[in-house]
Amino acid sequence: MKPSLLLAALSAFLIADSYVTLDNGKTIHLKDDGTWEEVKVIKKGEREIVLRPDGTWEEIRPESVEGANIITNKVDQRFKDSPLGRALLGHWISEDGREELIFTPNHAILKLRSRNGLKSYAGKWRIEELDEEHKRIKVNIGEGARLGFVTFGGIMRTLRFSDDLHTLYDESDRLSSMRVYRLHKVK
Amino acid sequence: MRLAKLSLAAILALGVSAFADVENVKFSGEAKLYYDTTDKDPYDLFDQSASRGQAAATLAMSADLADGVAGKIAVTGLSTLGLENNLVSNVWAGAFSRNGNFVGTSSQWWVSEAWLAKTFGNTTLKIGRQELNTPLAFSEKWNIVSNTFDAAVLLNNDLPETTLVGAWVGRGNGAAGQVVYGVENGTDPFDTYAKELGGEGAYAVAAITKLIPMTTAQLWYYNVVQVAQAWWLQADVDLKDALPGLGFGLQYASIDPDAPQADTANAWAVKLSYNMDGLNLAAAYSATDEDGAVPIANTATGLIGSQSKLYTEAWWNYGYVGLPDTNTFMLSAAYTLEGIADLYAQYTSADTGKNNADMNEFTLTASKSFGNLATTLAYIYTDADDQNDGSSYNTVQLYFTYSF
Repeated sequence: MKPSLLLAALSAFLIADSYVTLDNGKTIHLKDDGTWEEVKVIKKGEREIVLRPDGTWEEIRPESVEGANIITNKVDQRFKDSPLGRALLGHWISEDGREELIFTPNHAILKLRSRNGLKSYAGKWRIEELDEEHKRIKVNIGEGARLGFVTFGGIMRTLRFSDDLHTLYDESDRLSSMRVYRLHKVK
Repeated sequence: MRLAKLSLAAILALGVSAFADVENVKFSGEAKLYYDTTDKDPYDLFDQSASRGQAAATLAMSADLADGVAGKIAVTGLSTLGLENNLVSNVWAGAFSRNGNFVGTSSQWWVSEAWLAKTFGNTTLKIGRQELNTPLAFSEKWNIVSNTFDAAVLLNNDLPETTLVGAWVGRGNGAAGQVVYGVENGTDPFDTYAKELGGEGAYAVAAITKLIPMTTAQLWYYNVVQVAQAWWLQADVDLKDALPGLGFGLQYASIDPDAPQADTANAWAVKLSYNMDGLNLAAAYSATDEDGAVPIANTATGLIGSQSKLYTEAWWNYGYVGLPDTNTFMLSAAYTLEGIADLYAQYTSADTGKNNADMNEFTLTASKSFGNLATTLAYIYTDADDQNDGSSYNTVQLYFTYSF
C-alpha cells in the first residue's frame, strides 16, 4: 500500500462517524466518505439524538460529540502572553474621550469620536508586531479574513506604553493629523 | 498540466516568497450613507425638494514595504444610488466639477490617497496624496468624503517633547461648500493649491511642543505662494493640578494677503473645558478684526463656507465664526450614556457685525455603534440672517458609516 493511501485510510478511520461542535455553536457530522453535513443534536432524557437534514435520526453516545480545537497563530498567542500583550487587556479611554479601546482576550473594540460623528471597529484582534525595548505594539483590530501577510478589513493601530504600563499612546494618526492620543486604563 | 495541480495554498506561498519584504498588507474600507432634510420655506421636513442624500465608499490598501517604507493607496467613490428619483434633490459632496458643471448625480470615483512614508531615525518623510490636519490647511471630515492634498510632509522628533513639521502642498481637490470638486468624465479633480486665488502651492513650517509644563503649544507659519502669509499660535493647558479634568486653550491667527489693498485678518479665541466620567463640557469665545480681507478658516476649501479650527466653530453652519468683525461664543456638552448612546449638544452664537449675517445654531446629536456600523442622528436649529430669508429652520440628519 502506498503511503498516501495508508494516510487516507488512517484519516478516514480516525474521523469515521464523528460529530464536532464548532466555535459558532453548530454541530457537524464528519462522514467517513470525506464529506460533512450540519446536524442538530438534541437531548431526550439521558439520550442524545442527532437529527440529520434528510429527516433521519440516530442515537449517539454523548462522548461522540467533540469540541473543535481552534488553531491559533502561535506567534500571535506568544505576543498576547507577553507582558505588553497582557497589559493591553482592559478598557482604555483618551483624556478627551475621543478614543476608546477595549481589549479582552479574544475581542477588541475601537471607538473614534469626533464632533462630526463616531467610527467603530469591533471583532477579534491580534498583535502583528511587538517591540519590548521601546514598548511599542502594533495591533490589528476587527480583521475579516487573512491570507498569509494580507488581511482584509479592520484597522491597524500603533500603540506605545509608558514605562509603568499605565498609559497608552496611540501614535497611529501621528503622520496624518500630527496627533498622539494618550489613553488611561479605566477598568 | 502540472500548473493546474497547484493548490491555492501553494500559489499563496509563492506569492509570499515573491513579496518577502512586504508585510502587514491590509485591505480595508468604509461605506457611508448620509441623509439630511430641512423645513426651509416653503418646504416641510422630509420633502424631496428639501432633502439631500448620497452614498460613498472608500477602498484602501496599506502595507509595510521594504526598507521601512510604509504606503497606502485609497480609492473613493460617490453615488446617489438613485435617491434623487424619490427621496432627495441634492447631494452632500462633489456636486460640481471644476468646470462648474453639475455632476452630483453621476457616479464618480478618484484616488483619494496614494503615499509613501519613510522613517530615518527620528525623522519621517511622507510624500504623495494624503490627508492633512494643520490649522489653516486641512482635510474637512464633516462631509461624506474628505478633501486631500498632493503634498510632502517632514516630521522630526529630535528635540525632546517636540515635533518639528515642514510641509509643501502642491495640489488639492478642496472646494467651497461641497468639500471636494466632482469628477467630470474621468478628469482629475486635483489642481494647484489655492489656484482660484492665484495661488501656486503653499509651504508650512511648525513646531509643536510639550516642553512647557502641562501645555501643548503649537506655532505654524504658512506661505501660500502669491496669495498670503499666515500665522497660527495655539496653547492648550492642562489645569488638572487645579482641578482634575480642567483645561484652558488660547488661539491667535493672522492671515496677511499679498494683495496690497487687502487688510490683514486677525482672530483670537479662548476655551475652557472640563472632562469627568464621560462628561465633556466646553465654553469658548472668539473675536476677529473688523477689516480682515479673508476669513480665518480652512484655506483648502475656498473662501466661503469653509470650516475653521477656531474653538468656537459651529457644529454645522461653517463660514461664520471666522468672518471679519465677528464675535462668537460657543457652549458644548458631550456625554456617553454607557451602553446606550453618545450624546452631544452645542450652542453657537455669532455676531457678524458689518457682514449682517448673524447666526445662532443649536445642535443635538446621538451616536451609537453596532459593531462596525456607526450611526448618528442629528437635529440642528438654525437662525441666520442670510439663510431662509432670515427665518429660523430645522434640520434633521442621519449618518451611517460601516467600516470594513
